[in-house]
Amino acid sequence: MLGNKALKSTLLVSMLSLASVVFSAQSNAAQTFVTTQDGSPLTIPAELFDTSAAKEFLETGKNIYIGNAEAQARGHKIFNLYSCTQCHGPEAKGQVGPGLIGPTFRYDKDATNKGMFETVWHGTNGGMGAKGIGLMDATDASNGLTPDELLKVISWIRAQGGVTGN
Amino acid sequence: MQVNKIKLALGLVAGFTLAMPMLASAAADQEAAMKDANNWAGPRGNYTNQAYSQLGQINKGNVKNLKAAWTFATGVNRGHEGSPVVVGNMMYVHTAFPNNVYALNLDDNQKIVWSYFPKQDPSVQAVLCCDNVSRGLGYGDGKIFLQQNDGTLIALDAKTGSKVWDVKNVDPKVGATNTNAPHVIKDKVLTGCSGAEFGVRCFIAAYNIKDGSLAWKAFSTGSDKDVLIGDDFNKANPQYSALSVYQDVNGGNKQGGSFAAIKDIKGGEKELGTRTWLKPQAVKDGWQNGGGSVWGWWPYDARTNLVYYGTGNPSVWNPDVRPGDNKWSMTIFARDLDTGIAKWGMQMTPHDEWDYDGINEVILFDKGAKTYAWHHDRNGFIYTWDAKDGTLVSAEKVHPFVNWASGVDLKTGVPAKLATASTHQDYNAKGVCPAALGTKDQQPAAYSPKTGLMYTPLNHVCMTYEPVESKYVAGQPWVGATLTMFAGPDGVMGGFGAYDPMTNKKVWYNKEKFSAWGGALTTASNLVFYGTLDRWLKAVDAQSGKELWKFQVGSGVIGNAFTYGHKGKQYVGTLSGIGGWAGVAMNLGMTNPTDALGAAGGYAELTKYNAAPGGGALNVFSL
Repeated sequence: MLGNKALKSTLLVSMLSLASVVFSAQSNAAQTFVTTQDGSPLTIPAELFDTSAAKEFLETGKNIYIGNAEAQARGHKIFNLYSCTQCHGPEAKGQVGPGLIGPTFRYDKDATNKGMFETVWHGTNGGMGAKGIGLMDATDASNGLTPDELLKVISWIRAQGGVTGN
Repeated sequence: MQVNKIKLALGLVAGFTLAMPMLASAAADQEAAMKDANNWAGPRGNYTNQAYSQLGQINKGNVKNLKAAWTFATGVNRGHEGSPVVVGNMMYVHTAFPNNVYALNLDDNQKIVWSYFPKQDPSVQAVLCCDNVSRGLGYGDGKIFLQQNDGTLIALDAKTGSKVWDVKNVDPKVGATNTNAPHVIKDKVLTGCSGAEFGVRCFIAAYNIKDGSLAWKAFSTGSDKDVLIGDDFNKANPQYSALSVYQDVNGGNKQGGSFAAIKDIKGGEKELGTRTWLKPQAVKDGWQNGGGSVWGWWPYDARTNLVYYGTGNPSVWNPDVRPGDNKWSMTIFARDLDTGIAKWGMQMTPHDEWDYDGINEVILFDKGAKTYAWHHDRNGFIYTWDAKDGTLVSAEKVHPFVNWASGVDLKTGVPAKLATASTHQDYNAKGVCPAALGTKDQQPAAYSPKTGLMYTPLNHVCMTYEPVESKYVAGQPWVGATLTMFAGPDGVMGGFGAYDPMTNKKVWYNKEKFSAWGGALTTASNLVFYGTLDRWLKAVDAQSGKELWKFQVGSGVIGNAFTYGHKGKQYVGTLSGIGGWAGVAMNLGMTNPTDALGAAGGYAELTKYNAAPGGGALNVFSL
């Protein structure tokens, strides 16, 4: 049964999302990214956002793969492929590096999908190198995650805990 | 005074090693110090690795009166492994990263005479696989040696702490680090290499004690030239040098496949450090990124001039992408100290499927007219070899829960793998015992020539192990498997036991709530000391295992119990500060109640006994 309060907040959320869509449409502005290291501007070539999910993320900061089982499965594979397990553990709950599932995070902004995306893409001061494509490996520019892959990894991480990040 | 000491040491050395070439040892001061039971002049007391002390003032009758004499907080958190070094009135104490060193004056209330604070890039911590540990210091030639986590080996003047020389041993930029104690033997300083979780091709290296120049370096994988394998390698046991010891069953490296030991293996093969990495490998020819870390405790026998050590797992953990036996990972080597040339080597876990590193220590002991090399491997078997030529005398399961192999062939050293424990990509093998951290990990065992028994800490942990596809990127983790660990069938996670090293049969065995992750000490008064993760330092009866004394320190013990004498009084001590593989997740993962301590999930209850991160301290006791 939906209480009055819940109804109100649902309405509020709907209105807010409507507002943001309107706002995006009006400005037609993509998200601007900052590094987690020092908050300086982070430029990611727009052409790398080449799937509908990546385009949606670039536009709104929303990860539409959240809750998508197929995306999570692919994200889990990629999490293993780049040995994220070594530091963050097999369930992303931490090992020699911090747990990633919340509700509190090493970097507060990781509670949002945009924040976590930035942290993984460009790395941290805590020892994790940049994982974005072109940044991960100085010897091979083809190494690293595409935006679409990173969104899938985030969708799997989010599925391990209660925070959706959207 | 100094001159007299050196003369005395030289005299003694010449006296008991007539067969040795007349080489004036640069570390004569260390050799002299080791002859005095009041000192603890090396990582395990002396060259044998026995961690046996002739001191016996603390005995079975009075150990109940043992009380805290003094403590020293190291000012550093997280895992504190190893033990201090004691020479005369000086004690040298190391810490976890950033690997600070303190020289304490035992004549003057443990006052700090000098200290050394390495400047290390903090990012090094991110490439240490299993906590920021250091396993201690080396002493000799008037110097204290520190092997920093960032790969720098540094020689400090023992009197002043000023730097004499330093050398870069490994490069953290490619994921290589160091955690071992430098081992000073004669005119060399031996050190290793960690990084088999990063696809590093590891080695053992010997540096000249005077100036830090490289004397020799022996890789764990690659050509015979690089591994320092000569013509008479494995002369007594050519079957250890076989191209392949297994045949594929049901396709071998794929789900449902497994490996059966070949009955008549052909030995005497060359270049096995490249040829046992069959095609195709995950990266290049495999061996270039083949791992084989070296970071244990290394004994030395002056009569044969052989030094002994073990190599770690082959990279990557996914066995399906590195077909072949993957030599010389998982191997115990005996090498000539002067040249580094290998005399013998036996691979214990060919084509590893479980991360059963072979790095655990070798302990030398004499029986009859022979010297034996004893080794409790992570794979759950205890091995005893004839130390001079590597002939296998005994190989037994340390506990019946070991279920990946039914036994080890004494002639070939080859374990009979069981298909039920075989691991393959995208298949989650369940209930494999022991877990990857082995029935014993870094925590060294001890031997008592009085009882003739070995005393070994035990992990009683099993795992699920799922190899996964993994891409090699230089300087980044390259693991290739996910695993979870849990308590074994005894319902506890550890134990401590005494074994007859000639048969490797159990004499007594005590259960421990958690893995006994601290190194053991034996004394002439038939006491055995060891520490536990729930913060106890214990003394037990060497003959029966009966607990005679215990004291609860500030944080879990992963350091090695040690003893020394000062002004007629015997002291026993241990570093505390939980960490290492068992405790590292606890040190880092406590920001959320949902954090499950990663692979070491079974250790979650450690948080009920330890604050996080573990605080480093030295605890010293006397009557």
